Amino acid sequence: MIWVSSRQHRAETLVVTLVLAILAALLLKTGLDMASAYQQLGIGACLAETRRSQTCNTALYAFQGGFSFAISAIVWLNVLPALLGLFVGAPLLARELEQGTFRLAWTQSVPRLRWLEVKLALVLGVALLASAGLTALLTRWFSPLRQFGALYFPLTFDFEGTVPLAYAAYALTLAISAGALLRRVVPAMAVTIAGFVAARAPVELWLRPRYLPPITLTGDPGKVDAMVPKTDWALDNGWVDQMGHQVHTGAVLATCAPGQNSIDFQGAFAQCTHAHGWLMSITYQPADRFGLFRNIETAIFVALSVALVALTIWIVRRRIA
Amino acid sequence: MTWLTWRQHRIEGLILVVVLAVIGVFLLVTGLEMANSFQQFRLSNCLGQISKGSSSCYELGMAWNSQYGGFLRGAALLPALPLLLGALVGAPLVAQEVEQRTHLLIWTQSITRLRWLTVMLALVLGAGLLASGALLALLSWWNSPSVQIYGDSFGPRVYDTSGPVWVATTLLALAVGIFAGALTRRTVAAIFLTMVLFVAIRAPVELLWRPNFETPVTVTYSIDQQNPPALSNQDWIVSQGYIDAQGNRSTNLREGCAKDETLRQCLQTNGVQANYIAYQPGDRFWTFQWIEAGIYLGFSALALGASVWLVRRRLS
Repeated sequence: MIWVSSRQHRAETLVVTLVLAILAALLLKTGLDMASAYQQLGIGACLAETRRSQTCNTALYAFQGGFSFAISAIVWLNVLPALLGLFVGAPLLARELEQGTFRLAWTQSVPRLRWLEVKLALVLGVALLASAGLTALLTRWFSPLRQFGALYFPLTFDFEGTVPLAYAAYALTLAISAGALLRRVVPAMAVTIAGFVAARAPVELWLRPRYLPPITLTGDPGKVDAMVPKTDWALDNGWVDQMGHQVHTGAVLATCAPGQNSIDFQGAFAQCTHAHGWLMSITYQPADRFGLFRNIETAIFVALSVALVALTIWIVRRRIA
Repeated sequence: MTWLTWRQHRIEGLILVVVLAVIGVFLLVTGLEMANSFQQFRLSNCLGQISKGSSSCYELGMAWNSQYGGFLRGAALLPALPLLLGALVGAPLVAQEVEQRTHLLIWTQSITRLRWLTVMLALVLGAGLLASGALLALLSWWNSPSVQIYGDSFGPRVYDTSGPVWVATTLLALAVGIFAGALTRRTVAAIFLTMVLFVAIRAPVELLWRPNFETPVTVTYSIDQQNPPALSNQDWIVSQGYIDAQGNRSTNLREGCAKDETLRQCLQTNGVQANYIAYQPGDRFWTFQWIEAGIYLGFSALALGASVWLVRRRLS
């Protein structure tokens, strides 16, 4: 059985290994470059400065500019789990069912449930191992960027700890169950993409900032913004009046800084907003919650995966003759 | 023949319409909201001011971005749509027939295989282009507030979803998909090949070629000058950095700066003679769009020609 699985999936394994090897080489190269530039330009000392000197600004600009392409390209690694689901997960059952080979495969000495268990265990195991390796590499890769506080936060969250493993498990189990349900490869692939985006996007954009109620601080400008550490995840910046009603940023700026080219937050601007009774309000999630947030997000996708595995087993046992 | 094409692709067509409708509703709702708050923020007073260093306009832009940045980031996924069309509709077109052996029946009917392919291509490509055209109309309206504020029309999200490039990308993805299917004759392999080929054509054009469709305009300024000369916010800066005594350009300083140096001293110790900015003026936008669309049309024609040849000669 293990031999059949490895024989059926060896081309895929080869491609996955190849893709991972290329990725790993690229990540190592850019990661080492970034770490050495971080050292050479003295970024660590610059970030620690409270008032940035001009030389530090140039160094920071050079560092961020030099790696802006690599940093923006990293976002696309978010599609890797979907690709895994697409090319490994979706055909797993759908291809057997579509081409009728399941009739032969499932009437051997190995019962169909055992056949499915071995397949699931091997494919999921290899995928999780691969994504754990990639995650370890990415965690190293991000380490200079983590010193910038929460500047790269939404990006780093997706690639650290157990979260990427949970995404990989979800994409694979989604694709396998879609294949079992639809019994045709191409529709199963379409459902995989739709289902992956439909779960990832709302969780990332809508649910994640709400895992715990965010903290809101209000106060005069120049004071309240200094109270939020740079490592925290700033969600929203706005203005409220003393009753706590929202005031439009446009209105505040039009009143207190009409046509002004530079705003000194501590000076006349702050006096003007104070006189109007307007307070700056900053909503954020503190950095010490990130660990919990990772666990919550992992739990969501693991729970979805478990449900999908159960669905697949049920379909294979009961529904497919 | 038309009936057969319709019958084989009606579910795909239905899904395409549903996907378009979902995206259309998303774009309409968020677009109306953005246009509305563009008015409320009185951002029209700020046009072109952000790049000139107006910080009240900068703050407004930031406030607007903190509200709609999520939508804009989400919309950065839109350039993946044509690829999905090519992979899920284009690639199986020939591959699935051959893989499931249905081509043996179809190609031995009264209609020749060439005619079968021509009708299929015409209808599928036509429908794909129609869909991308419909979306294009909505997208250009949706993009306009952020373009007016940030002038990011050369940024990938706006550029890739604008005018000729967007339509040509759709054609390219479908053509590459059909070619991959005719070549590999297996659906899953064809879908994989479609993605690889599409990225292999698209990425070099976008990253290496696009900044150099025309020679960028270079401005040099002295190292005493702290800020670069002001450009219009519609201009696209393709590179900026330092020029040494030999006239060589580099984007990085050879050695970093010591802590106690002023910027000017630091540039001098690094042998920098002047700063430079190379940019593409904003009025080249449509020229660039048509050049890039032409490149994709060329690749599409190549892929479609190869598909016809493969179906006529190579597949039995």
